[in-house]
Amino acid sequence: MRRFREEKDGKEKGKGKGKAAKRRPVTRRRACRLCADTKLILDYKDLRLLQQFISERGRIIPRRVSGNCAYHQRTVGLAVKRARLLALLPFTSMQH
Amino acid sequence: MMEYETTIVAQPDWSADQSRQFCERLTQIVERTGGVVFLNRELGRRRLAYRIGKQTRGCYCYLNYGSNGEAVAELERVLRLDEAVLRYLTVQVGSVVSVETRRAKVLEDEARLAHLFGTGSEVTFGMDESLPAAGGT
Ligand SMILES: [Zn+2]
Repeated sequence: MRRFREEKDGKEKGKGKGKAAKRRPVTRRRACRLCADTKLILDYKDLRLLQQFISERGRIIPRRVSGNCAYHQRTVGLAVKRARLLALLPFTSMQH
Repeated sequence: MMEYETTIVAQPDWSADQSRQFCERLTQIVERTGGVVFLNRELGRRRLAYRIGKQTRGCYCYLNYGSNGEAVAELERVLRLDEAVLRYLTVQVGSVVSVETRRAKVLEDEARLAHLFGTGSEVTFGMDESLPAAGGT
């Protein structure tokens, strides 16, 4: 379920600028899941679905990783933020 | 007429009966201000993803209704004043062309809501902190 490039993120920054083109992992742009399956209706109450678009720390997964199209990423963002307001999803995992 | 849905997080000490009464009261407010309630449901008690005030859990209620907007204003006024209410969120879902057509779809929506929220049992989504499992405090 987790996206494979997620862990690497922070580490790769600022290292070997010149070789950047070579080092970038070859990943195919994946199709937007929400476009592919029109039966998936994004709703702030559908936590099972929303959880697939947030990281373990409760952050919204960037669309470069999740592969969402721009339109659906905005929908995801809105739904996650609504769910957070109702304490259905956390703002961060650092609270308490 | 526009269709709205309001989700309310109330304090957790209510019994199922009390939350049902609360839902009933909200329904009356909507109807008094010329709205039509399509669905009102008590979603049970669940753990909050983060603390609100001193509460770590809350009673969730859901109301789906049609109105020209007056009902929203009055409903939110009442919710704002009610100290038992921790949070509420009103979302415009769309416009209602015919009340009958909308009513016909309600059962489907109710089933979906039940699927998403379960039936009154306690579910935890989001970060499952090592919070005390017992209610109260
Ligand atoms: Zn899409």
